[in-house]
Amino acid sequence: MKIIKKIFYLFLILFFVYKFFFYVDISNGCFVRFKPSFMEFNTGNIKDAIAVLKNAVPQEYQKFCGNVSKINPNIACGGFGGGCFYGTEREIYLWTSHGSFVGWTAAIIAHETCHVVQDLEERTMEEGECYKIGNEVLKSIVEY
Amino acid sequence: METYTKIKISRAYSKFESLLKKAIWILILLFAAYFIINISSYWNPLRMCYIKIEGDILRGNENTIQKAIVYIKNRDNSSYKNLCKYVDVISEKQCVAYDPRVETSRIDSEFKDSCFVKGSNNIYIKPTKEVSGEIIQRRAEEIVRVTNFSTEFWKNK
Repeated sequence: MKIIKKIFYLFLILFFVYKFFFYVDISNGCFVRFKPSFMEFNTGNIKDAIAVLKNAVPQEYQKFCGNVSKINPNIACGGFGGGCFYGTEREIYLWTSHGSFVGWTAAIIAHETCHVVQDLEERTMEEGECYKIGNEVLKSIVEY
Repeated sequence: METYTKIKISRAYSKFESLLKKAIWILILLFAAYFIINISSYWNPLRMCYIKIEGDILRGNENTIQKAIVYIKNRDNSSYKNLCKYVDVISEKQCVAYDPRVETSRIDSEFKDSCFVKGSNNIYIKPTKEVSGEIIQRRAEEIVRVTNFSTEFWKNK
């Protein structure tokens, strides 16, 4: 009985860690880690936005999976509802809050992924290119 | 022999009594769960329908969304079925259809009354505090309209 209890608690902890700190999609080779944040402890909105990219904008999803390895949901230079890339290897900041409009969060992810790609290709951080990508994502996913 | 039968009947009765007590407790818990869940969601266990409602406390009213769903249920069975199947969340938020920093010359409103975000099961509806039959009907129409987008997207997926 004690062993069963221990196994149950272990699974509970693993589930908790997986739910709040990881995004894993084995079939697409996608593995992204979330850094802990008191402001944005529930990363549900970010995970929903990643699912939006996966289901509706697969080319951006592939780009995201191939180039981003960490998401930091703490306060960053983009301000509330924005994102940021400081040039730290493959790490993007998203401060979008759990209750945000999921389309906007998806667009921010695409925008920051664009900066990661610019950095990996040793190009200058050009905002125009990334704003354009975010806008295209938004326009292609929001139906009204 | 008579005493033996009496004991048997008494045991069966106490078993029945304890089962009945358990059933009553389960019913009370189910009713409590039903009322608690329906405070901030829409749940109809008989039709296997659960929709989370994210209301805007300051500018919106969840109650008119719940009433709009009931309105759909009573008038349009096929839309209600689609709503239950293809929508998980109804959120009172303004839709952002493009980035105004990029499309500076665009003059139409970026905020639409309702929208669906492809790849999700979320629909968004413009918040309003107004409560009236007309508002409920208008919200129901908007919900049905964008539910059709979600239905089409997931059916073609």
